[in-house]
Amino acid sequence: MHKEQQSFIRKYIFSTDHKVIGFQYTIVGLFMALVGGYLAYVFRYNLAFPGESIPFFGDALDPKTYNGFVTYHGAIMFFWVAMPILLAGFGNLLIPLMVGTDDMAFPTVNMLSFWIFFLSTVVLLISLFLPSGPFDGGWTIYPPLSADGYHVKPSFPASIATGGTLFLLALALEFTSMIMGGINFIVTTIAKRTQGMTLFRLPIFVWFQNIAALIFMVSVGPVVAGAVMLLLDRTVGTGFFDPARGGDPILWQHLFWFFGHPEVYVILLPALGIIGEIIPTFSRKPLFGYRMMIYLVLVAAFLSVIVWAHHQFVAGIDPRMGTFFSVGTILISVPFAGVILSLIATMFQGKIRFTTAMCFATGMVAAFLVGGLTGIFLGSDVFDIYAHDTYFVVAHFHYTVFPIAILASLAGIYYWFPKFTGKQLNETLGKIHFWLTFIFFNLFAFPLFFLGLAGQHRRIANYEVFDYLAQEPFTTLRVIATIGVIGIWIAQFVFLWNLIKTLRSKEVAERNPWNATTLEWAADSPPPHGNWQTPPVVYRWAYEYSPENQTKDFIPQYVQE
Amino acid sequence: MNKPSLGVLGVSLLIFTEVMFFAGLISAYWVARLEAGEWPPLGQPRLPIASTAINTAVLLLSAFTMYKAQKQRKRSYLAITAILGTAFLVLQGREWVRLIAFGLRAQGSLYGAFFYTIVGAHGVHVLAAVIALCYYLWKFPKSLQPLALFWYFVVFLWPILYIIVYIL
Amino acid sequence: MKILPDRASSYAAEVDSVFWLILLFVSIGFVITLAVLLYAIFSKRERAKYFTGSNWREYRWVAFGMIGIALADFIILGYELKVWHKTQWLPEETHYKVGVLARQWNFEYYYPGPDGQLWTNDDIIVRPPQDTLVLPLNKKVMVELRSADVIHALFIPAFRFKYDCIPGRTIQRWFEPTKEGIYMVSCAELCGVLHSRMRSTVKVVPESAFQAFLQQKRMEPLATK
Ligand SMILES: [Cu+2]
Ligand SMILES: [Cu+2]
Repeated sequence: MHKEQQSFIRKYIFSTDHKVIGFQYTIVGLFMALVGGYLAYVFRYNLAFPGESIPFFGDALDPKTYNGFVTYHGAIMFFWVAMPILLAGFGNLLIPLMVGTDDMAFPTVNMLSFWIFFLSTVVLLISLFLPSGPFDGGWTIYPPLSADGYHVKPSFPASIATGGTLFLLALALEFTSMIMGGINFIVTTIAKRTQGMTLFRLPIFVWFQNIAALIFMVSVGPVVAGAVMLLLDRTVGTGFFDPARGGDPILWQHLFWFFGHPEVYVILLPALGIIGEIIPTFSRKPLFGYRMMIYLVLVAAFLSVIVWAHHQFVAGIDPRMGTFFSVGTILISVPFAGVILSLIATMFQGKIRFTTAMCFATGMVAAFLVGGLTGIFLGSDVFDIYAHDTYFVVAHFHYTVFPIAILASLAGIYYWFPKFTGKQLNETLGKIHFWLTFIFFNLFAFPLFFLGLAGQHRRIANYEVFDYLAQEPFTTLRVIATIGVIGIWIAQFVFLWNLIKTLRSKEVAERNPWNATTLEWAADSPPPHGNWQTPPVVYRWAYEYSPENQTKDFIPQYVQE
Repeated sequence: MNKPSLGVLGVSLLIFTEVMFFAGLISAYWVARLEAGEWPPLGQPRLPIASTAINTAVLLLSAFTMYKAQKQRKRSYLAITAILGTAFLVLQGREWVRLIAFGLRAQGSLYGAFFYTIVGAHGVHVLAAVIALCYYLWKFPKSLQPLALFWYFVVFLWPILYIIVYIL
Repeated sequence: MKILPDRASSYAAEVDSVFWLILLFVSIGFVITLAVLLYAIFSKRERAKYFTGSNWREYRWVAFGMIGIALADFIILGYELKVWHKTQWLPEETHYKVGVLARQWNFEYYYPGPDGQLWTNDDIIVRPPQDTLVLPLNKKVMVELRSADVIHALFIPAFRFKYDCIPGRTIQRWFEPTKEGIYMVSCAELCGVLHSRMRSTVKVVPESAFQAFLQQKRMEPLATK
């Protein structure tokens, strides 16, 4: 298993090592989080203080730039933050270690997948700085708007260098990269498990990553087909979504949401996987209902690909279809209730230790609970007619996506940091980071519910022309939400300080500082290329914490008794 | 340990994703077609069913030679497969040129747009498969199975598309 | 502060009741779950108790939770689907018809002309600089939504009414204004640069005043299409 010495470029840039690739994904993802967060800050400031100049940016946003910024904020946070960090980043770092193998099944494909992702990031950033302005058609890219209303006859190839085309191209590249990653995950898990690692001994994280990859691969094909069609509309001038030529703009919505809804689960499941590792460790208890959790998530995964049209209740779909999609959507609450309750049951009568990772994990569960429950309002077609495209929706999905993409990612970073860097993040700074992030997040997202219920619709740069919304208390609520965003930013500087401080310190972390049971803790910190001197052997399931009639409060998977 | 080959697993998953891609395209095509009523729209050239049947035969034959190559592990069969695949692409290209001359444009109607997109998407896959084949021809690795699997996918997808787009 | 804005249509109260019903169940669910979470946190002990939830006796509490959620779901669905039926299916008879044609970036309103048909040459058209949709009080109105360019959405919060205006198709829905007054209308679907400024108003007047309005509109020289 010993790998030879490699040049710097082969080792850190064009590396086929899953850990380096995982780091690359995570770093690009964190960088893009800064970009997406900056955009959020700029337009939130603009909303709170309309017409005033924005510190660290410049003049107040004109409506076109505003539309561009919200478009990129959404797309970046989904596809260039949550996906690379949760799915590709953590997946790459952990899956081979957790199944006890030296690397992914196809290391070269893995490397390629990162560089395609990197290319997609570059294309996206270029499209943000085009002289003709960034793409401003919303992250859902609805035609005809996203095809410039079919007013302009595209001239190939000049039409490629437009915001919309590059945006679509970046998305297509990103999807390609994630497909390659997903194939790697599943094949590695099926075929490269170490001796003794049966399917039901896999850590829940590995299960959820694989189900996420599977959902992604089921749902991504149609949206890629749609993206190809839209790209052709924009570049060579076909009329797939142009009603004047017999095309149908609603068709795009179906192709997009068939993917778009399951996509939420593609990022949710890795997040729940991370939480599902952290809570048992810091409760010193087995994961409650391990097998049931897998079955429930499979049920939810299935439901997730048949409920997409709940995004189209207002698009004039047949009311009978509305009924079907409403029932399906609301019933998704049942399996997820099971998962959330099982996570809570895992903590019950445990020996709980609130490390920073555990704080983030608990905070994630609590915040996600709000997001999940408010989904029922929107799953109800009657109320969705009113709430659709208002800030109620914005509040709802920030209560789902923020816990997923930010809280769970940070939980994972605090938890596995010692394994992959050999250093342990400072706990005091970590706690401050958690509380600031959590409180300011609620300060930001909760007022949005009230704004949405008042009828405040989305993607508006300035509410001055909407008399009702331009008065109190709505102006104040918008200011509070903006303070929340600024607070979230400040909290991240604490994290940055913690990172710098920790990486510069000489203190070395233990091999298994949390006394956890899964295989990655058996490897060196950080694990070398190839991971193991001798491949580990697995003797039991992943959660043997506090077994009865034992003095030790945990027995790792790799220890023979 | 009797674990499945990595390559075969990987290619199977890839094919699965590709099937979903084509399913998306085809369902979009059917939606458009049902909404349009008259299909093909008046004044649009008909598709050449007969000459495309020859292309189809060429491609199907390549599946047989691929099977032979796999069974007998002969480079020569692999080369024939590559030639047949290329021939298919050339024949398809010739047909496109003729259709364009007849006035079937991707820009004009959905009929043309879907024809070129679906057939073009398949063509790109054949091209990719031919390139992979050339790589295999050069390296000639121990197992031809992953390549063969992808080749069969590309070949047997075609008759389905042929029936849906040309005949129905 | 009002949570939901003023109601001015016949079904607004029912839509709101769906909201309050769901809020009730969701709040109960939230409070119980949070209480259980806190209880779990405070139930911590020196040595954790080993149980895995792999048998019914242990798992039943989670199962009861799921059954509880499922029951709540079915109650919500049972009620809301009734309201859905009422709001979505066109009533047997509607008294008036209006057409809404959205374009970048305003709404145009159409009333049938002498032929009683919408979208014909003799339609009465209200278009900018006038931008008020005048509606009769307590009459069922059928609305036909269309768009001239991209997708827009006609959003009348006071009516709890929102539907997309989609190019290439016509969406038919209905409402019945039940309160005189002037209400805000916005476009709720991102529709381009000036989406931020796309607005309009609805004015609900007694039927006689509505008739007078139509009469007066008919007198105006017809704006050429
Ligand atoms: Cu959804
Ligand atoms: Cu609009």
